[in-house]
This record gives sequence, C-alpha cells and structure tokens, in this order.
Amino acid sequence: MKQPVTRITEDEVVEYLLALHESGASAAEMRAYLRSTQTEALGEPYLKLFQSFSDERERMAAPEADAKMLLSQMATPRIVTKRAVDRSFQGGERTRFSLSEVITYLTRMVSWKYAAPGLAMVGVLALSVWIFGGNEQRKVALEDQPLTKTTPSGAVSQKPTGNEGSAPALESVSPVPTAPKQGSVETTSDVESLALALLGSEGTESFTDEDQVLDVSADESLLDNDQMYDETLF
Amino acid sequence: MPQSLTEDTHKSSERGTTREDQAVFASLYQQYFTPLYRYVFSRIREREVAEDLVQKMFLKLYQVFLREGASAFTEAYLFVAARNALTDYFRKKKDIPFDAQDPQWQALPDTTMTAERHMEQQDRQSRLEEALAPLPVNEQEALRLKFFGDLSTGEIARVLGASEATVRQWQCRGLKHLRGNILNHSTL
Repeated sequence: MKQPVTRITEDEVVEYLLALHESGASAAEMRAYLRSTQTEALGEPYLKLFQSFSDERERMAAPEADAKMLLSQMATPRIVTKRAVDRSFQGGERTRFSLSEVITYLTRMVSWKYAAPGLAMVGVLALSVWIFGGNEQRKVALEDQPLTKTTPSGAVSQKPTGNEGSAPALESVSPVPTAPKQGSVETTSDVESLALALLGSEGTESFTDEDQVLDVSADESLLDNDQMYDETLF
Repeated sequence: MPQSLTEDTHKSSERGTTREDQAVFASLYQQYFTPLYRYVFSRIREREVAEDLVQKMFLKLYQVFLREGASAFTEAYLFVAARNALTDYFRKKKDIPFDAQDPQWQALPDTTMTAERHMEQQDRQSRLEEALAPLPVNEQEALRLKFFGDLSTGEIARVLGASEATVRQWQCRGLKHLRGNILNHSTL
C-alpha cells in the first residue's frame, strides 16, 4: 500500500482508484487505501460509483454465448452465384440494380409471344392516328381557305379594241400587283409602287362563313317594313 | 466487380468449412461475446437488439477471420467493429432515446435479491444511466469501455484513437462529472 501523503487532491484520489480498479483490486482494498491516506471523504463517492457500475454489469445479464448456434448460422447454405442479378432473383442478398442488370432483366421478361401482339396493336394505333389526323388537317385547311373575288376597282379594263361587238373578257388580276417593269414605267418611284400596291389590295374582299349570315338586327329599314304589317291594314 | 466479390466469398466459404477454423472462431466468440454485448447493451438498452447486433457483427467478422486468421482479432479490433456496428445501427434508426421506464429496462428479475434491495438497485442504475447520458461522448465511451467492456486503458486508447494519458484524463473527468450529476439529483 502507498504511504500516507500529506495533501492529496481529488484528482489524484480518483486516478489512483482507477488504477487500483484496473489492477483488479477489490472494494475492501480500495477502502484500505482511502483509510491509509485519510481521504475517505473524497474517495467514498467514487467507490459507490464503482459499485453502481458493477451492479449494472450484473443487471445486464448477458445471454450465454452460444457458439454452436452461431456456427450453425454460418453453416446455413447460401446461394452464391457468379451474377449479382441471379443472386437477387434467388432470394439472396439484395443489391442495387445496375443498368446492365435492369437490361438483362427486361430482356429476360420480353419474349416474342407478348411482343408480337403488342407491336401489332401499336401499329394499328399509329395507322389510325395517321389516317384520322390527316383527314382532320385536310378539313381544317379547306375551311380556312379564303374565297377571292375580283371587283371592278381592282380590275384593269381593257381599252376597246377593234372587236367591239364581242363580250369583253374579264381579266382576273392578282390582289398584289406586280412591281412595274423598269422598261415600261421608268419614272415610277418606290413610293408610287407602294401606293399602287395598296390600291390593288383594296380591290379584293375575302368572304368567310360568318359573312354569309345576314345580320338583320341593325337594319332599321327592315324594322320599318315590319311595322307596315299592321293588322288594321287587312 | 460483383463477380470477383462473389468468387472470393465462395472461396472463403469453401475454406471456412474446416473444423479447425470453426473451433478457433467459436472460442473467440465465447471469449469476447459477453464484454461486447455489455458494451453494446449499455448504448442501446435493448437486450434482443444488442444480442442480435453482436451476433451479426461476428457473422461479418467470420470472413475477416478466414482471410486473416485469429491474430487480427484483438480486443481493440473487436470493439472498434462494435462501435462501427453501433454507428450503423444509430444511423438507420436515428432516434432511440433512453427511457428509464421502458419495460425492457425494468423486466430483468433477480431472484437472489430482496424486493427492497431490488428497488434500490433499480433506482441507482437508472440514476447512473441518467447521469452518464449528458457526459461528453469521449468520457462516456472511456467509462463504458472500462466498466462494461472490461478493457484496459491501453486498449481503450487504441479503440478511441487517443493516448493512454488522454484516456485516463477522460475517465477521471468522467467520474467527477458523473458524481456531480448524481449529487445534483440526490445523494448516491
């Protein structure tokens, strides 16, 4: 045992108690040390702490280490194959599938037995979409096409020639007049050609289906006509 | 990559069938199971989970044993493995608060004790755990490995990756903090 020391700090007591504990000293031996150094007041709480740890160890009641059971678990045959994809199919350890494994999986699942009808259905669908889609487009194109009509202002009348008796030929011109030829009208500037173009565009009118419906609500003369049908007149 | 791994496992499995290897591994298991279990249990506080965790850890270590032999299985190595297993466990199940009223914690009968002594011990142990929990991690670990894992200061230093002097300091401070925490509640 260590000889009594005049002044022992708490840290020194704890360190010494820890060293004694590690060397396997019993509680009685530790108490003897504390008594000999007159540090019972300092050291006694730590002895109780050691006792608490000791009680805790007992309380933990570790189960018996059954090596036979562990060995039997290790001896359980495990399916070990070379390919991870096989291992996952056979109920072994799960792995995260890589792209190649997914492709392998899909190629296994796909067979012509299922693929042929599937492809046929897709083909029929595509064909029907193509046919009906084409018809719809054609209908829309026809509906949207503007009707053109020539008007006298836009028409360029021919000067009477020698054949006065024959019916004048109606010439249809393009709504946008072509630019004058440099050789025929030499003095025409760009401004004039633009003005001509605007004048030419005035001569065309486009009619849509909406225009075919006659709006009579705003026609006051029609209202007046209605008033004429007075019963007193008959 | 997976191919070579599985082939390696396969070869190991073939090697592992020798009775001599199994006997050596079984003796290591029996020698270290209890301290490892106590240490793991002190962290988890669930008997079945702790037992399962230690067994699984040994099953994993069996492959290491077959590759490198029994010489690799030092106490420090096993406790480092246990700490890693605990880290994985807590990562998977993030919040496992210690509940002193948990039936698992209460239902460990000791027929050799009187009821009064049993209650006194229960009270003291729960207070011990409550006092241990707020300690810094290093101090907690130094004390758990010492008192539950039965490790020497040198082995604890290897497990925690610190010097022996540092570990002694952690233990000393930890005990003082523990005493202070218990005194805050009542006298021990």
